[in-house]
Amino acid sequence: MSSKKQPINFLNVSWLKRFLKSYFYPRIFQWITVFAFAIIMFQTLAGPTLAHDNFGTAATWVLWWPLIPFFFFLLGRFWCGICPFAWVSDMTQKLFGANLKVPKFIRKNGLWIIDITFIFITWSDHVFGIVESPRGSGTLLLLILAGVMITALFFERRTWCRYLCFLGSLSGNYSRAGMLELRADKETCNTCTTRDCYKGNDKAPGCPMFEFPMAMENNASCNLCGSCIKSCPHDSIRLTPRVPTSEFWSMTRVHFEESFLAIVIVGIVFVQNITMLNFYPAFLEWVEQTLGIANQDVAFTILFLIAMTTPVLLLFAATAVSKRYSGETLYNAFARFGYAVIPLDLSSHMAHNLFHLLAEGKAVYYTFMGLFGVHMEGPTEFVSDPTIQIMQYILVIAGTIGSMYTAYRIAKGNYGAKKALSVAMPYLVVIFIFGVLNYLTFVVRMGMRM
Amino acid sequence: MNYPRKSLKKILISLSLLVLTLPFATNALASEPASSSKIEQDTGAYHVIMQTNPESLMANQAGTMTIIIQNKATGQPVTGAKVMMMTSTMKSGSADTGMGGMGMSSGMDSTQGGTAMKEQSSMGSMAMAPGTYMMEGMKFNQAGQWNQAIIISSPLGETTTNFPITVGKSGPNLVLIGSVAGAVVIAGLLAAMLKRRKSEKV
Repeated sequence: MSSKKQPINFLNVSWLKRFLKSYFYPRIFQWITVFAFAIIMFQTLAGPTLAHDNFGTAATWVLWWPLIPFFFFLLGRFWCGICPFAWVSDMTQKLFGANLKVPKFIRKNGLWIIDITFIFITWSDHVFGIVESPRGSGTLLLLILAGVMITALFFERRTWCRYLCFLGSLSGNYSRAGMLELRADKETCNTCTTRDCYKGNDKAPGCPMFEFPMAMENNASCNLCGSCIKSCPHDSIRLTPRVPTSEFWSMTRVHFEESFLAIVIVGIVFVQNITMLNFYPAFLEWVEQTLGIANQDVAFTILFLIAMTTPVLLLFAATAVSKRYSGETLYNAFARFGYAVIPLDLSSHMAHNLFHLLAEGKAVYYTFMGLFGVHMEGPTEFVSDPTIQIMQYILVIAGTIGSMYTAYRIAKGNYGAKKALSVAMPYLVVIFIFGVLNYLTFVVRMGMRM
Repeated sequence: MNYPRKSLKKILISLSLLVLTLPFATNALASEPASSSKIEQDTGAYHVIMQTNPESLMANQAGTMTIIIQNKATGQPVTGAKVMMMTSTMKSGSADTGMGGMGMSSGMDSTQGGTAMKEQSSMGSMAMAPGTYMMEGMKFNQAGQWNQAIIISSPLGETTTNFPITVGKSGPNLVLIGSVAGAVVIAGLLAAMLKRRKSEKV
């Protein structure tokens, strides 16, 4: 008999297991999100054109977007399991889908397509207006909806969610730093001959995310939809809490594209922070004058490119120094250590959006009442600015420490305790720089979205 | 035969990005008429900058007009001026029609001589430049080209200046919605064909 302590398994809680196995999971949550999404779509496409008055804008950018990173941290990709787009995908496929195999091009390059789309959307937000413009937000949602429906019409399972959704990729990255994991018991699975979790059975369809739980070693693609919990005839699935960031410490498979996205998000969050600071318009004007550019969008594009490439180049520089101790190739080491910035990405994303949630949160209620013809105005903040600022500092500091510790653990796990510090040191310096820069952006007050 | 396939992929990716750009571009262009985003004019002794928020005003939806007044000769902000916003008129061909289609919902002092714009030193937490005057809650009841007259009085003299304002329709962009729906329907038809072919093979 093994004396090894078994990790906590939430599926041992009988009522939770019953609920996760029931017809109502995740449907009950999906019905709510689909209903909310329908209102948001209608509001952003046909409601008030001023963000200040639009419930769709408030619900999306002041409530959902700020809350979503907290979800990822606490519950992994649970959001993806209850996402209204996933419901649309399932329905479209059920009614009209051709259920073709996913083309190799998409499987191979999906992450790059996501990387490019993510960068493009961030750029579009500043040039054309997405967040501050209800119609811009509506256009984005409409395009995503079209993308979801078109992929569901042609391809099997949730091809969009797994290979093409930019939020899915972001959530995949963030949830890897999170506190919850779903895994299968390998010993039990070794005796299984039916593979119902992947193929599906009369109790539930096969994994919509193309995952085989037995072989799953990270959270990137599991959306906690519960299908495998329902379909496994051997009760092999475990739902366990874990130490945040621990997934990165012992990764065996790394992907350059995932690391690239992680490091690009450093730039994206930085751009989002900088452009919302009160001095930004004056700074942009200074850039225009200095470079002799008469067009604000061109000046922004130059700044944007610098912000996107600088973190990538800095990480490459750190890798170039570090590989003298690790002996790894530049490509492999970049791919391995790129994941280390994810905790900082996540915490900066949380910190940035915490301001919108806590300083503008009441706007969601005001605009919601507007749906019923009740005009409400008033202060939008839940807590004072200094309190929010302290929370932001705590988050950024925690993220920086988390990232530095992750870099150290990756080095220790791959090159041994003796070499760990020397291999990790260049990354620690770069992460520290990212952390300080992020910290500084929260010293100045941000502009409102609503 | 790798080369042509790779080129095709590149073309497809470029085209996809272009297609992705267009809806945002058309959305932005459709809602940002240059005439009402930021206009600068010299009038009398003043240099006047007019901006609206949102940049593209929509019919029957409240917006804010901001006027920054500077001394034309020195470039210094003009503070303490009396700035009156007159009833806006709608342009019909070359002649203006005297149609009072603009209203204020913010309870400003309104007289026959127009509505006084409030001088602002701050807006929320954001400091405003000196010489900034604002009118909140202005609404136009009809889409089209409007003319907004502003009377400025200060020790530098009294002058009237006119700003053209483009008011857009506030409804949804039906062209965009229709195009996206059309693309989905075409994809649906293609998928149905592929589905039939697949079932015939089986």
